[in-house]
Amino acid sequence: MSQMPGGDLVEHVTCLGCGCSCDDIAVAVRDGRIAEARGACALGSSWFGDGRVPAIARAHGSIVTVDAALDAAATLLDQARRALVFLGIDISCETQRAAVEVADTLHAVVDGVSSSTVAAGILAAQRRGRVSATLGEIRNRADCIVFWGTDPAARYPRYASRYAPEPAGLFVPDGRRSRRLVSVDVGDARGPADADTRIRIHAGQELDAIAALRAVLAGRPLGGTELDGALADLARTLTAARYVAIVYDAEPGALPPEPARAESLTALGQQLNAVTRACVTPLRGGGNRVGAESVLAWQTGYPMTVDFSRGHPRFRPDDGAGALVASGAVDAVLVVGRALGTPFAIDAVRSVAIGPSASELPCDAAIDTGVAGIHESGTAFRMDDVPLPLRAPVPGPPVAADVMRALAQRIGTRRSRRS
Amino acid sequence: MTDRLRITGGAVYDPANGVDGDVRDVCVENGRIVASLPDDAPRLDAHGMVVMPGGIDIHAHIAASSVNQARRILSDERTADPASPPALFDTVARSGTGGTVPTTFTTGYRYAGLGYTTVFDAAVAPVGARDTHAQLDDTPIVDSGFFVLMGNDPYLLQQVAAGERDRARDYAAWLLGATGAYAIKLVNPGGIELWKRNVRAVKSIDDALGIPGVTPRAIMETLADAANTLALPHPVHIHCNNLGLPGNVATTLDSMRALSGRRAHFTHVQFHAYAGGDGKPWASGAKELIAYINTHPEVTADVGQVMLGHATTVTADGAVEYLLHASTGRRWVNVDVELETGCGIVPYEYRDAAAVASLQWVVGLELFLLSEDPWRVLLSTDHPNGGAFTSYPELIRLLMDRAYRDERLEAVNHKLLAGSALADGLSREYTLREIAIITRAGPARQLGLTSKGHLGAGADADITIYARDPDIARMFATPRYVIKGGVLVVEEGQLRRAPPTHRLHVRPPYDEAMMRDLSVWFDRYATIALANYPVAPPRDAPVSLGAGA
Amino acid sequence: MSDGVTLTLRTAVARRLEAESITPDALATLDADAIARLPLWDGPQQVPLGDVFHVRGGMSSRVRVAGDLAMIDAIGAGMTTGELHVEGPVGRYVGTRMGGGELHVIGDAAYGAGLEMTGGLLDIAGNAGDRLGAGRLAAARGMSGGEIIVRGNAGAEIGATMRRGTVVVAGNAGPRAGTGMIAGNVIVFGSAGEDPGRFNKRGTIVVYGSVSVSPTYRYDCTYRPPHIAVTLVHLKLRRDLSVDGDVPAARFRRYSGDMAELGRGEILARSDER
Repeated sequence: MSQMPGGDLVEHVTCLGCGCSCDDIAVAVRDGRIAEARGACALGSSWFGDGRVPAIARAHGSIVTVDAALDAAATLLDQARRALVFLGIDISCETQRAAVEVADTLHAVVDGVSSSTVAAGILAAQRRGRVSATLGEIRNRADCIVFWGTDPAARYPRYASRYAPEPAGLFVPDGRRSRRLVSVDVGDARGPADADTRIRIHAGQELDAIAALRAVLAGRPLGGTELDGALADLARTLTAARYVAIVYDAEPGALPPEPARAESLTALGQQLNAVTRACVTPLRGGGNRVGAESVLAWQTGYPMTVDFSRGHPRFRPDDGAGALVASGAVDAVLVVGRALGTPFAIDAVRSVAIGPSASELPCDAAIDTGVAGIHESGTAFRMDDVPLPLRAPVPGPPVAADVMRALAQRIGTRRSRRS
Repeated sequence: MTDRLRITGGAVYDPANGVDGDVRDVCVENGRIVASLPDDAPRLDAHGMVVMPGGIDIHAHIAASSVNQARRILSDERTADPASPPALFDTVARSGTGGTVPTTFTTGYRYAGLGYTTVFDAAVAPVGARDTHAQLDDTPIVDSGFFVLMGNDPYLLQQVAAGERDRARDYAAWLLGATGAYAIKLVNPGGIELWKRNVRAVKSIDDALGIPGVTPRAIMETLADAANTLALPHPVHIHCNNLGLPGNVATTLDSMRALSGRRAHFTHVQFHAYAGGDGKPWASGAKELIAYINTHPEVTADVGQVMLGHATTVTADGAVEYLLHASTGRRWVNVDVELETGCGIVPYEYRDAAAVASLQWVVGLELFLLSEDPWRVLLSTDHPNGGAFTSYPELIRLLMDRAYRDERLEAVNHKLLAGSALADGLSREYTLREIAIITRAGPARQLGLTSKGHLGAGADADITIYARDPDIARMFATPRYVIKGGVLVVEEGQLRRAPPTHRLHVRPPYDEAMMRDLSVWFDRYATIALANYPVAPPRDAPVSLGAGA
Repeated sequence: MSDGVTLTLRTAVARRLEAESITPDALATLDADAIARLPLWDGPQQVPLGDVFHVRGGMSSRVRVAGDLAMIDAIGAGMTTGELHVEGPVGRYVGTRMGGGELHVIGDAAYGAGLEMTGGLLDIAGNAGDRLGAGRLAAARGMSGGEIIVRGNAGAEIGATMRRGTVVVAGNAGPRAGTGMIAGNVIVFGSAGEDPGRFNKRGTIVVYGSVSVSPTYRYDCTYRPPHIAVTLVHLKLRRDLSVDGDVPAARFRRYSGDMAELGRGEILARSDER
């Protein structure tokens, strides 16, 4: 931190506004508030805001101390027949680790944002694997970038300037000019306007187009489809490149829904590696949602939707959070983190929320915490599974990881007393 | 639990202190071994039992980013191996899942359940070090550390090209400290960078790697010298070029000769000891390789035994995994890691009906059985590549029980075994002393861990007590007692406690002038700020330097 | 089945229960009291079977389960022998990983019937839900043996990632039948939903009704596949099942694919040509 007139400048701050996780933000702080997030894009600036967040704890309608709210939360969860722990966003891996511990101790179900957004890719990886690369590899090596129905400018504003295609890299010394930029437009989902090559695919023909490309690569051209000419050209472009990066937006809302896209693109990428080098990398949203998959994997062996009801992890991808609440299978929910896009109504069952702005949710107990990366340090994963440190440029409410560890301890004590 | 304990009446195997099965007491106070205790100290009766230092795994993959990628694609095998929490007295126990790549908590519990108390992850991408520390924080009971991957990082390769060996050493020293690592790991020196450029095999250690002056030989020399000059407790840890290919024993021997006279550890040498190739069938190259190791005291190795059954291959050596995927059609993960290293994963099964898997199994056993110095040829399966660490008891039985080994040998495919030493009949049976060396005292010596791997006064009180059993595998799979840092973690065969763990790491000095050069590199090519690159220093003090050289 | 075991649902169940304890294998070794003590799972809690079912008989591998079982999951999971007759609609995962014996459902079966089955017969008189005879969602390999008959319609992704065995649907099948098949047979007497056989390696998908074959399959020929005639005889004689208006001489258009995979699988679509 360096002093500047009227405040402090905190440098090298990691932004979790989207999955790019740019770590070059300089946050100017005045009077304990964020005056400016220098270097951040509009999305990032809005994510940082002025750093003011609510800081109260509530239990059964009254404002109480954090300790009292923790007691209420522990009691509610401990008495539940079957609880759901839901991992929201804007929490550190340290918080996620404690949250999974709570689920394990409670014999609860733990799920998160991923199962209702990116399950197709997670499941495709289980069947096929994946061919990936970290963003630095794409920046330094990829001489052919295929944006698949995706223009990162919209939801990942600095992707193009930090990773690809703009930066000069070790093996692409002239930056954008060293790279071939291909846009594959899928239905209304368009790639970047300045692409060197553009291919249009009807939304309903996407899988067939990928399959046709794969068939060409496998030496079994299909013949007879209207896409043949353009796809044959694309196949030549891809195989002539030294290092291909196929980039698509894995989060919902950008591309038309297609559950088999991730598997098809993975298979395409794997096949390309028979002739050249290639990776297929999904764009992912912010708030350390990727970290939840990592933490779940190392603690339970499964990246989402884990059921501890038998006292050990079971992978239940067909019984996600939304279905469990809707069917009445769970009678209590603990939301950890910002409850963005929860696939259920929080007030459908008894509920506890611990996270940024938790007190604004209709819950039986709620504890506001800081936002990971704004008020809390720790670790978060970038969209490519690279771990980054979080800094805490401004002070805030209680730290989520501490609150969750305290909750885990309370529940652990109750459970061990009983056994 | 008291902080004093006298273990009485056991046959003690403490090769580092020249104790070979003598019945004597071992005294523990405040987490360490002491020479004596007052008579009223609590006693643990070990009559008729075998007492050894806690096991030390010199080479396993348990907590790297790559390991977690593997966990994410193995839902099928782990569904069949759920792990309920053990009944611990001191902490909240955690559940998990097993298979060949267990979850972190289950990894710690299962290692401790086998009597292992220290484990090193052998391959961590520098940029993923923060992930590894977090995973190790969630790996209970065992002390741990990791080796950080170098030798395919263009920054280092450019220093090699420019003949800037001092700067290369300073960079290595900085990277060790910045990542909280314990040793320098080389995987397929230069070959991973080539794989990223679509060049799929390094033919020899003198291949030009596309940058003038850079060859696998130059990379190995640079980093071996760096490790030795820095007096790191463990020398450079090398996974040679051409892993898993027929005829690769020539490359391995060339690599050893290239570092002749320099201290170096060659890992999972079983995967690098094949003759044949160039149109000739696969064959064992074990005799040739072990003859070199036996006569060159500067060389140490771990075997990387293949165990017949399920495994998961996970390595920084991405090109190898592409070949395995292409030949088996199995699911495949590749992750190219930014200007540092690679990562490849393919689940695999070594079938006894398969000719190559059978040869691999035999080659590993030959290396063990022809080794003349157990201090330098150590036990590993390259977990989970050759088999999971949970198969160590079975491996120990293969080494100690010739009748069992011969029976297993009968069952494998003999197509490629003509002329192999094992098929010709190797009668050697490892002794308990030798087992204690290849699983405890030897790893400690080669890792430069002065307070582990032995039971002399001042050592960490990491102790395993086995009840004797004619079934050697059962004996080593179910220790009666395990003590970690003076705490009884396994009692009457049951896991009972999970005391705090320690991180083993080094922080060697370097010339700050290198940082100016490195910061220019970071500004140009890195996606992470140099200021954000180093991990938070581990709680434990760094292991001191100078013990190794 | 007076000498068998009969489990009759006492009252409707409010929440899903998991009942993999109900297999002929288990019940063959237990008397009625012991059967009543078997656990059913209500989330993390165990409920004695006797609280949910009235138990009659014991020590038999002929088992009848009756009632509205739509909220009871995993009946017959892992069974390897005996006969299990389920009378009434049944919940999810009926006959999951079954390896032998016969499981008859006199009613509809929900999601995941016969998931990852390795042997035996699963015969569903009513309709079946999604992922009949498939693998778990994340599994690289699904059903690896045995036979599934559905006399009504079936949902999406039947036979997904299957590697051996046969799934026969007398009615219509939903979208993506046989997706990711490694080998094995999927036979649909009615029509098949969109995009059958995506990622199919060596599997055979036979459709008598309408089917839309994706461009990643290549038309080979129109012929009378001899193996289908053999299967039809088996179904008629052993399973009392025949395709409407079937003539043994039916001809099929053969398409091979998925060309993006090995190209060694096939879709056989019944041809009107004689």
